[in-house]
Amino acid sequence: MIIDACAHLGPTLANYDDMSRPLYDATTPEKLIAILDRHGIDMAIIRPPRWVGGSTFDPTYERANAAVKDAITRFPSRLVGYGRVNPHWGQAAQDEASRCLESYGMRGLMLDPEWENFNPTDRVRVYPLMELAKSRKIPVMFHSGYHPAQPALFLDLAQAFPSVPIILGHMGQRLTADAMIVAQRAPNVYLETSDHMYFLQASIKALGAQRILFGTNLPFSVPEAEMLKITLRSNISESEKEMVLGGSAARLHGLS
Amino acid sequence: MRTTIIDAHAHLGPGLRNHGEGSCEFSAVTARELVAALDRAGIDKAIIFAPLYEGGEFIDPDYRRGNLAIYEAVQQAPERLIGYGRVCPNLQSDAVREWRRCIDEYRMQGLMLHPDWESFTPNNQRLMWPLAELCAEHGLPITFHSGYYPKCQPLLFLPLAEAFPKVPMFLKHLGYHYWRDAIIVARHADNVYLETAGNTTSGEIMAAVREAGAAKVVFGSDLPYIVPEVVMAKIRGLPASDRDKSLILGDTVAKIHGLM
Repeated sequence: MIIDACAHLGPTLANYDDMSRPLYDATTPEKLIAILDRHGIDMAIIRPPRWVGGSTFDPTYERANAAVKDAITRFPSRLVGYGRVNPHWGQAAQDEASRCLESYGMRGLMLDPEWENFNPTDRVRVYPLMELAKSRKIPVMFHSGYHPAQPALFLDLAQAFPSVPIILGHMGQRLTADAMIVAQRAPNVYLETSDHMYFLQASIKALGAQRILFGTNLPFSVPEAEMLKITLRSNISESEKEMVLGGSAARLHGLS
Repeated sequence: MRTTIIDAHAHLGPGLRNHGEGSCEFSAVTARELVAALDRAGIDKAIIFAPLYEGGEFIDPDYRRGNLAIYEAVQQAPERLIGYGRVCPNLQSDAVREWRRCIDEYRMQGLMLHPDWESFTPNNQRLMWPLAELCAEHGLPITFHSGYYPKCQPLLFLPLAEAFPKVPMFLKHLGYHYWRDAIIVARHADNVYLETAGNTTSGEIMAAVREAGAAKVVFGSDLPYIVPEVVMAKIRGLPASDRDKSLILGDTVAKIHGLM
């Protein structure tokens, strides 16, 4: 089973008009599933995209989370949902995260320190969300890459919440070596492969394939390329490829 | 006519053996190994240069042995490989001498420089201008690693590009996290091209196509540190025209090197 651990869905994708734009239309679940079908992807873990100002006003992600809920309710065999909040909204963010997990049937939380401009080590804004994840036994995925989302910042967080699986999106982007150093010291840290290129083999050797999760970053990246970077490697075994392409995400989210 | 696919960013040579285990996806020490990788990926030609020098059994801090390996590889597969020389600009007159030798003796087709690894800034006139003058004199391009502060963020290339407007300059990796800066520099200098190697994301490549134009974007992979098919798939999967993709995958580099 192939599971995309990093896909985005929702009406706010239509807001993008900066240099960085979606490559494909994934504003509805039907459109996203059509893309998954074309690439033989069985399931996708979806979350709202970064909110950028535009015709859909949604800085708290409430509307985008509702769109994810609608999608996973209609396509439960294809889509798994993550709730997304901006920790700066404080109690409102915690309430929205609780709603996502308790009422919307979501299986994880997604936080983006770079976009939302918070520090992963922030005890006031981030720890309450981590406590929620701990009590609900669900993973938290973070965008990782540049300040303030560089891998080093997740080491303390991961050690403070050793029972909460922490997924570093994009394997730290260009800071993959840092992501590996963190993951080697925190067994609850997992790495997701989208929009990253180097050191995949080294990461699998160092951490084990079950801690590496295939992701596409749809609709912002080309899924063929994201799959080929795993399937084409001659230095990774077939069982390791299967684990990365879906086994890891299935284990982590109790999917089968 | 089918586009000649040219990978503008490939490393070859015994210097690869100095890297730690797992840093390369396959061996590209010899011309035979590198051509086999091009065949697997369906790539017609590759621009090759020495990998970054890190200490090991192969001692080559001035890239003289690495450049010789490039020359020998091109001799073995001249229809598939385009050789670029590599020097460390901090060696000053020795670097200029080596670059001149690459041109005169090795018939190299361009110069590769890595400001981050070799620790210089591309706007340093004392180190950089003599090398660029040789490029201008012989009509040869320069391909630069580009990326981070304080040595190779994209804007540092603008004064050099303006001073040598006839010298085509490739910014590798699309400036890494400074890809927006790289696009702006490419828009402001006709001779600056953006190259897609390695971690450059498909979204960033599409932004470059849209904002700087497909004629300013060139395919490069960074093999053997990555599998080149993946970078080609990023380009082929873009919502861009076939003509734009042909420009990126080979036409622009072919034009710069007089191959079409």
